[in-house]
Amino acid sequence: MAKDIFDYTKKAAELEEILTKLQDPDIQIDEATKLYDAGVAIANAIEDYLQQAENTVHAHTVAREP
Amino acid sequence: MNNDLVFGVSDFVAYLNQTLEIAYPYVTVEGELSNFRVSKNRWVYFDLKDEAATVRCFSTVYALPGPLEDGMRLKVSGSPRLHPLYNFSLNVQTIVPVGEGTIKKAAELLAAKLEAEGLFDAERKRSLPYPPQRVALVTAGSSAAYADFIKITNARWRGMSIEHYDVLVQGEHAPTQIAQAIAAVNNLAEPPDVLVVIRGGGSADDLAAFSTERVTRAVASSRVPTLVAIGHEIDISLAELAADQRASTPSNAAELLTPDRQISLAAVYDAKVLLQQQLEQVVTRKQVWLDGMRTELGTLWSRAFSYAGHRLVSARQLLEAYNPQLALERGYALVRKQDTVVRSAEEVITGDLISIELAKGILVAEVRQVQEKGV
Repeated sequence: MAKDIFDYTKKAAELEEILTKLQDPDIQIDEATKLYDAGVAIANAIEDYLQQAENTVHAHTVAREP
Repeated sequence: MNNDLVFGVSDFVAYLNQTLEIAYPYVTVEGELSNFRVSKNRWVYFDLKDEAATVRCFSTVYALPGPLEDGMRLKVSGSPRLHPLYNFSLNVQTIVPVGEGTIKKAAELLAAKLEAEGLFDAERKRSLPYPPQRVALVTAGSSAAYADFIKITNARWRGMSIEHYDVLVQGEHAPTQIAQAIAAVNNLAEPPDVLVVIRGGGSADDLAAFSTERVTRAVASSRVPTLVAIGHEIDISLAELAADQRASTPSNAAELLTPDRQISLAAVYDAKVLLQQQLEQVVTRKQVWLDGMRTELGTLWSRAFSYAGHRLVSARQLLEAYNPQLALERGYALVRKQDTVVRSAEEVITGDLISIELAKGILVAEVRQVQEKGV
């Protein structure tokens, strides 16, 4: 199975964390800008994934006992 | 009579078994269970009977679908044999309860046993990953349940890898295949995130495999979290009770397993708007802070400037207060003797020449008399 599969749960958690950090009233503008850029990149990646990824089905057979 | 074939006893048993192997290698017999007993927790002996006949049966506990009681109706499959010492018996390999009453009773007995062991305890239940990336699906590939699950999953979510294990979901071989598939999933080097076992609706007979001890234990012992949906909402199998989560139908299983993609997409759009708003808020906060700093700097500067101005005025006033010219203007005079200021009458004697500086002009005078003050 593919190891580089897109981890939606992890990416969604990262986006949530960035949104939380941006709420910090003491955050500096350069840090906020970096977080904003990273957040937009993650949001775009999730959007692409949800629009373009496909489910795959692999069939396995189970040996039938006599 | 002399030409009649005469067997030795052992030969006769062997001959008969050979004949049975050829004529009836594997038979299925349905009847009522009686004289059921288990020996040494391993060997199972019982009779299968109807109104007119009884067949002795022999099996192992591994073939039992669960606890059994005399009076139950069973369909057993196996090989007929004539034992050299214990006469005829059916060597049973599979035992399936049949008839709604028997299936229900068997399920009740098994449910009580497994419940006592804690297989259905709420504290055993694990939460399912949401959404999962890798799903193992155990069901019949040709079933409507499979088609519904794949259709709804594809409509709701993307990017999942589904490993489908094609198994029989009814009949005597179904429990073995389902248990083997569950074992295969659990033995994978990289186990999936969730194991889904589904089957569409059917009669109690059709669904019986999912209430067997073998399948129920396989579900309960799965190290991969399990989601089981068997039949319709009103059908509850023991495998569902043992699962980490139960779904009412295969379609419902697909819905429980995956978020709605459209809702997730909307959440991503909202997140992007929120990111923009939050960055703008940070910039606005900094602008407000800068404006405040600027105002404060201005105030401080004004205050410092004003203070310095006041100090300058005071200094000037002080300087003016000490200006001897001003004292001279008020009528005082500055007396010097040879450029030294005279502060006491004792510093001069009669006849000294002194200069007297006035506000305007200087007088040169001779001391005519020296007197003490107040005299």
